[in-house]
Amino acid sequence: MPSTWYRYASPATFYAFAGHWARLFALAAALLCIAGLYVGLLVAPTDAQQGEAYRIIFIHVPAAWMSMFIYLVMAFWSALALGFNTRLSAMMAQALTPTGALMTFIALWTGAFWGRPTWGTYWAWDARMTSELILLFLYFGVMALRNAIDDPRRADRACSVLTLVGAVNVPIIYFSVQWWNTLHQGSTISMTTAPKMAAIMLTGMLLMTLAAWAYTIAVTLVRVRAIIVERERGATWLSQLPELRRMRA
Amino acid sequence: MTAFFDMGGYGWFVWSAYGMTALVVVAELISLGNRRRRGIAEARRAEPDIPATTRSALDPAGSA
Repeated sequence: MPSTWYRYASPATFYAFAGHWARLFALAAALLCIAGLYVGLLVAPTDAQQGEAYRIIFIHVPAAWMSMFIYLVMAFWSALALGFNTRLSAMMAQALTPTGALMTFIALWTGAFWGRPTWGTYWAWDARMTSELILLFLYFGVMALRNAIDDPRRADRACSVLTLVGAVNVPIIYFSVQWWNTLHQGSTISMTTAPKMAAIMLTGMLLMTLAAWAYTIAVTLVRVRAIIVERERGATWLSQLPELRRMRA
Repeated sequence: MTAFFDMGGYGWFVWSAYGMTALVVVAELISLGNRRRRGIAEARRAEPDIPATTRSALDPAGSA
């Protein structure tokens, strides 16, 4: 492994790096979101079967994808944190958790408000929805476990183990529409077949997906910086940061 | 304009979905800003009491 990767494993180095990239991704998220909303709400035509109700897809699908993907990234950092005992890996996992919970909540909420006009119900105890709700509880569980343990290094290990155990839920969510006969429809987008959507609708959805990616990266980088400030308190390099010195004058 | 907000009769569902998303995203951004400001203020207050010589790579906070 090249030595540059080790260099970025140091919170001091990563702090400045994260600040730089957070700004770029925040800008990208804002622009992609504006473009996605423009295409999704103003350009894309009315759906022949669902009318205007289908426009919820532009938030629902990106949020649902992110909710699962963030969990996998969190599990990746947790595995690194356990395997290499690196502080920064655990901090990355810690920084991802609230945004993962947020995406899961958005997926469930928008799904409910899409389900009512199309299936006639806000909620059903169906495999896809129930496993997504379990994902929300997993995110909350990891956050609660961290709050319950005072020593941050012990909290890192406990949260990493819980995250890795919970990762089994992600393939269950993903394949639930194939494994069980559910109310939820199958995948709209597949890697192996042509998309079942009009090109302009697909464009809006992909723009919103990229916006959700950029948003998640920006927010996670800002949060990992806040976590570094919380956890590295008292370190010489931290006290020399301009944001800490400026306010003391 | 009214037609846009009416969403072909699905206005309640579409705007409930978009509205709640906007609300929780704004809430996350505000709470994140507060967390960062609070962390910086606490780090500033807690910081000067440890002599630099007691810190090490294993114990950057000098808390051992």
